[in-house]
Amino acid sequence: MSKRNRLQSLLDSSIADPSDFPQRELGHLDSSLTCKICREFYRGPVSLSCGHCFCSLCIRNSMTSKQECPVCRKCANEGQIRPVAALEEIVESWKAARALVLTLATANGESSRLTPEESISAIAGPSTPNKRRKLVSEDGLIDCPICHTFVPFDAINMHIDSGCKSTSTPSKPKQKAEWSKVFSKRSKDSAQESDPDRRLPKLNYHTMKEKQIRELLSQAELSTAGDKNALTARHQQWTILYNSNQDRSASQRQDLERIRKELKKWEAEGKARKVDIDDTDEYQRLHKQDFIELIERARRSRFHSHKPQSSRGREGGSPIEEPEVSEVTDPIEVD
Amino acid sequence: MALAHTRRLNKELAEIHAGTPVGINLVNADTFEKWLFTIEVMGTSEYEAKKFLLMFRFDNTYPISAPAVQFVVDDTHKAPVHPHVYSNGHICASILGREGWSPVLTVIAVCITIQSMLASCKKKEPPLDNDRYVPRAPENPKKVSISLMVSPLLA
Ligand SMILES: [Zn+2]
Ligand SMILES: [Zn+2]
Ligand SMILES: [Zn+2]
Repeated sequence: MSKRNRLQSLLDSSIADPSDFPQRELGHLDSSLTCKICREFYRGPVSLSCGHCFCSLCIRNSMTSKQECPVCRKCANEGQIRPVAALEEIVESWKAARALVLTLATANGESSRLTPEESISAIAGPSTPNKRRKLVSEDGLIDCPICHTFVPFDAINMHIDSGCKSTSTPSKPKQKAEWSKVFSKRSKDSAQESDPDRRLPKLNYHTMKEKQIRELLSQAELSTAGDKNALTARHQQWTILYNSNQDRSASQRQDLERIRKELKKWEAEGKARKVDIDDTDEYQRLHKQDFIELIERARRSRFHSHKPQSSRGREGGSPIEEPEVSEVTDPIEVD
Repeated sequence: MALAHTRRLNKELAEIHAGTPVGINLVNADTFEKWLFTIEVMGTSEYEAKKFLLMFRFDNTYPISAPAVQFVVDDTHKAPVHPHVYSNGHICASILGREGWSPVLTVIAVCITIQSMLASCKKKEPPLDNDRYVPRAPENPKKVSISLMVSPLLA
């Protein structure tokens, strides 16, 4: 493949991969910014108490199966999840700079026939440098210096005292009041702006009536079709999608309509159906491997391979998915 | 979000095409439902100069839940004789169960585990309950009921 074509195919590919870089150091940098669960650049990165980071959506999905950190296996739960705003900014900056770095690195790593102008024009995509993020929003929300979520100004002290757990002014006595507040028609479109720090609570669906769950779904403008299991699965996933979106910084968040679409896609994929229970765990306690070492070995073996990069192709016939075009959100400026 | 498991598998495939550990080779990954690898134990071992065919099956819960993994047993392939491998190809390994699996594990990590499980084998013998297990086991090892596979714990 010609130089130009190869470069172009790398740039066109939605599948950014650390091995795109001829230099190992850049490959390491690239892979250090990817989530170990989905292997893609962190989206709404969050950390757990152990310090390991994942995409918010990835770890929230993982926790529905097991309450532990997938890397170190320490116990973990939703309450530990904290957005890591600095990491999100690093990832977004790297994504914006990646094509340029890749061009320079490829030109440097091998001899290139591209002139600098050509290289630049080849990468001048939608990636524009981020402007500074605002610290205080128009609605008087303040960027918490600890967890970097937006908290109402009058609630910031309480928020910090609570270890960044409380997200708003003193909690309502009734959860139901909370729900209606989140979902009420009046506030639904402005919910994200007026209270960007809001997370939906984890509910005990067993103790709830089918009617209550249906009510919640309808308030969130979601489908109310199906039996209690279906309603529960839908609302559970809605909570995951909603909360993981909230873990992204304001400029990276998607609107509720987009999240509703994602929920629909999720149901269409059939993930809503009850997953086969793996009974295998009880008797498969033997051979407990040190799996962190295992991952390291697997990773090392990759860097030790000597196959030419250009042979790294998608084999014909693989059902490669349409690249998902991520929305470019305008960065918010400070005056 | 859509088809997250195929995106993740695609990433793994790119790495696999870039190179696999010695003794582990991709045979077929034409779809994102089923992949086949050959596993060979390098150096001196009970399984010297033998190649086994390892099958992975994925559904859209991957990588949150483990893939279904087993040795292929047909006219031309046999499962290795091993205290944790049933003669129908089903494998008893902690990382394939709910407790031992982690979504940061990969197909290659599973291959390496199975390879080292074979490499460390001291005595080539089938699981104690092989004859009881095999006739009753479902085709897919992920659908095995808990009461069926007990002997490896006693072995
Ligand atoms: Zn992720
Ligand atoms: Zn951890
Ligand atoms: Zn805070």
